[in-house]
Amino acid sequence: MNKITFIINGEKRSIYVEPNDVLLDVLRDKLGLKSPKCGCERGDCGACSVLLNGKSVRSCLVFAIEVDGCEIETVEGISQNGLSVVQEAFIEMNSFQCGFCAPGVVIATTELLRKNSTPTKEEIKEALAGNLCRCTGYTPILEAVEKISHHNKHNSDNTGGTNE
Amino acid sequence: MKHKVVGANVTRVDVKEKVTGAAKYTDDIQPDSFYWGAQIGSNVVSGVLKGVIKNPDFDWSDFVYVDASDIPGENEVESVVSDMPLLATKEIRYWGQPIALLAHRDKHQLEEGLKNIKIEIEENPIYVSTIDESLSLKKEIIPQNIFKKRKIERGDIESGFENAKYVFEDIYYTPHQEQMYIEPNAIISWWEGEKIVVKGSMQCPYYVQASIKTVFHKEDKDVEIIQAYVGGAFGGKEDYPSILGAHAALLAMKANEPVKMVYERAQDISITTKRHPSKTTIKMGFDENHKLTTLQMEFILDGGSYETMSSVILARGMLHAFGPYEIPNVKIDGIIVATNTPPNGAFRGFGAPQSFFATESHIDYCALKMGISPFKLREINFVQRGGSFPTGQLLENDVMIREVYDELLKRVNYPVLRKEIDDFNSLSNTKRRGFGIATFFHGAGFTGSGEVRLASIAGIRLDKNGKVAVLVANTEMGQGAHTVLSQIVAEALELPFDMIYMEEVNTQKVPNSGPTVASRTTMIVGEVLRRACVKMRDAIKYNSLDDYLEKVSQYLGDKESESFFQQHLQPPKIKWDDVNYRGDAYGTYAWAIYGVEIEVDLRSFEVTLKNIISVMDIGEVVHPILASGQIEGGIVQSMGYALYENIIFKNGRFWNADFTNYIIPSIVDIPKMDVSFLNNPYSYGPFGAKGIGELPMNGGAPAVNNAIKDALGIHLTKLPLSPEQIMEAYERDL
Repeated sequence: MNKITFIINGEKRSIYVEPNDVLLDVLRDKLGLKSPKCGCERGDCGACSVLLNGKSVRSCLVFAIEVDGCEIETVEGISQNGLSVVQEAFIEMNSFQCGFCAPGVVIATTELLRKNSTPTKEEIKEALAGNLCRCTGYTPILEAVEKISHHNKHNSDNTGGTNE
Repeated sequence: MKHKVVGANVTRVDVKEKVTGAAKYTDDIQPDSFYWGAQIGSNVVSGVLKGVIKNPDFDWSDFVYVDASDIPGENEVESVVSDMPLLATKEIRYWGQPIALLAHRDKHQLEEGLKNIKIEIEENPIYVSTIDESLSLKKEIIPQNIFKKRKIERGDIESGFENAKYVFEDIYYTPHQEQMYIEPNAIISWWEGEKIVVKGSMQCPYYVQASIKTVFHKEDKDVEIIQAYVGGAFGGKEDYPSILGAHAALLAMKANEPVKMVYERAQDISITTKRHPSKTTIKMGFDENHKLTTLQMEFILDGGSYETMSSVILARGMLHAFGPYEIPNVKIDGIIVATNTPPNGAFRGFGAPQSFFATESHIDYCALKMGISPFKLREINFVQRGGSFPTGQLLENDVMIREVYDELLKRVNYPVLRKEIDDFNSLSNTKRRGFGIATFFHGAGFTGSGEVRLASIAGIRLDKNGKVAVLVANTEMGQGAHTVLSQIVAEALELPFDMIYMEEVNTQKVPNSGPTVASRTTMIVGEVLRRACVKMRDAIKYNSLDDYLEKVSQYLGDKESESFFQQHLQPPKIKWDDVNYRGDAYGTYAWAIYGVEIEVDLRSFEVTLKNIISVMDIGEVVHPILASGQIEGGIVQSMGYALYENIIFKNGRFWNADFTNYIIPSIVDIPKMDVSFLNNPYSYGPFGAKGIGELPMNGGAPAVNNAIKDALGIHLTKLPLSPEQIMEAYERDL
């Protein structure tokens, strides 16, 4: 067992892990953070996405031991001070059906909008290309993110800011 | 009729839990102490089981092991035909067939245990993987390899073909399709004294209950089945949880602790049910006016290695096979054959996507051969009001195929689109565009007298505070059922939407309102609920919300609550003959058309979907956004079926059991979609609603095929419509 220390959803934690423990399992089984889902165990579906130092990664492809000293954010963290703009938009647009892919999509969208508050349709598609959804046909997901983008663009135009 | 809640885009009852990660799916349930369960499956495709050997040098003390000898009741999987053993004892018919079960509290230890178990099987190197191999009797799995045959007949096809001016015949093939719900199958089970509890990802709690009762010889009261959040199903969790639930309950019986079984993706794809592969031979005869006078079909489905529920899938496939046309002479032979593959099962559309692929592709092929437009050919042959289907079902005011067709042509502005496409094609050296349509329908509810046999009961419970609980066994698997049923109850009771809530779907808390399948939940169960609401309103008269709360309090007195139940009433007009397949196969049909615009790259032969226009009559629309969501999701699944999805075999087993090589559409693959509805209300549906869940799956593949035909002038007969197939046909026809 090896001791690792990292920040999870703003809280500093130290835990013991085996060298072959996968981050997804540690988050779910040891830390009780159930929002990252296991859909494939091999990085294909995006349901287990979390933010690792602000970047979206598939937690099923990361060994827990690798995150020593890192900062991790899951949907539980994103939700801890109430709903985020992303979550509110997804609720308003009824963006999900079964919802199993939803946490991963929230993570990928959050990452996108932190980097680029006014993404184009093509940029949204590229950012979400690694998150598979079998229910919705993606349309209401895309529309919700476009709506946020339009809103941001409108606000920045009104305040004389740039679109970037 | 103007409604208040029905027709409104209320917020989904489950969406907040889903976007915050609070929704508990099966694998998210983590008791303080529990076992992980796993299945030990056959490592050969065909053979005779000789034994299972546990390494005597390995420490088995913390493991729980189960094989068929532990089964207290029947070793069978309850289904339409219960011919499949829950755990194999002798005969092995497919790779991965369950033989034994193992559980341990630690996942890593469980893996070690599985490595120390050896299955001994006398392998039979000859096996059959496809319909053609099965028919050739390369190996006989069951007598003649035929599970079941059915027939639909009308008129006289012999004289029909004799008198026809044009006759065209071809053979169409479709492959397995995997449901590919993002949440793999998952179940947790525990015992409470003599009672078995099973909670998990499932569509049909009462199917799982029936399965457990059979396997353990238990009564209803001793089997409690609870639905957890379901991460997608599409039919794939209709029958399989009956197997997985019984497996988990067997392990839990010996573990004396909860046992959780969560399939890995590769395992889920390798051994669970899929859409039946099909082979359809179709022959159409037309008179000099291009009137379709005669249709002959042989519709063959690959049932897999056990029959289970294939016969009802065959029936639905056949009962949609004739397309939306009036045809005087018809003969459709349906056959289910056996292969050494996992038993196939339910998948959205339930046989109809296979038969529509053949019929709707063939219509366009015949049009091409006769030199008339496929649009014109359909106009000549559409079944009309007062017309009938080959089963003799009279279609009265219910037929909307011409209306959806006319609306589509209007929406796409076809003459303009045609010119755009033709101009593009004349200018481009490397790309060709095309536009194709498919016209289709779907009958909601169980086939024939199925709903009478189900005799579903649903209800509502009035609580002291005036809130009303909806009591149904129908599950929310993403389709929006719990939102829509709540809307129907709110409308029927004329109460605010937020006064309605769903009771937990638990066999000890809700009546058996039937399975969540067959596009039946809104139309059939919704109507049963509406009638239950009428009972409550007969018992308590109120004219405003304040008045309501007062009357409820008077009515209940000291009681905490009062429930009102209703059983399904079959609409009086429906008459069905199960033996001869004559009559009203479905109470009503939803009607639809797709128009698909595609672009083919002549260098890579890749097909890009540009635009999909969908017009449907689904009766009164209960929730426009959720309804559109069902259609868009169904369109994209049907595009996957058309272009990408294909199970590949290697050594008799499924080879591409992952997302990387079994390709489903991603967000970059989706076209522009235009979804619209015509609302012709159905008098026996709640506030006029019809079922819609499966409808969008039926038309995608033939519409894309017809668009490719329009773009390149080639005729394809096999799904998926892969670049390889397109290239071969294009270069052959050059």
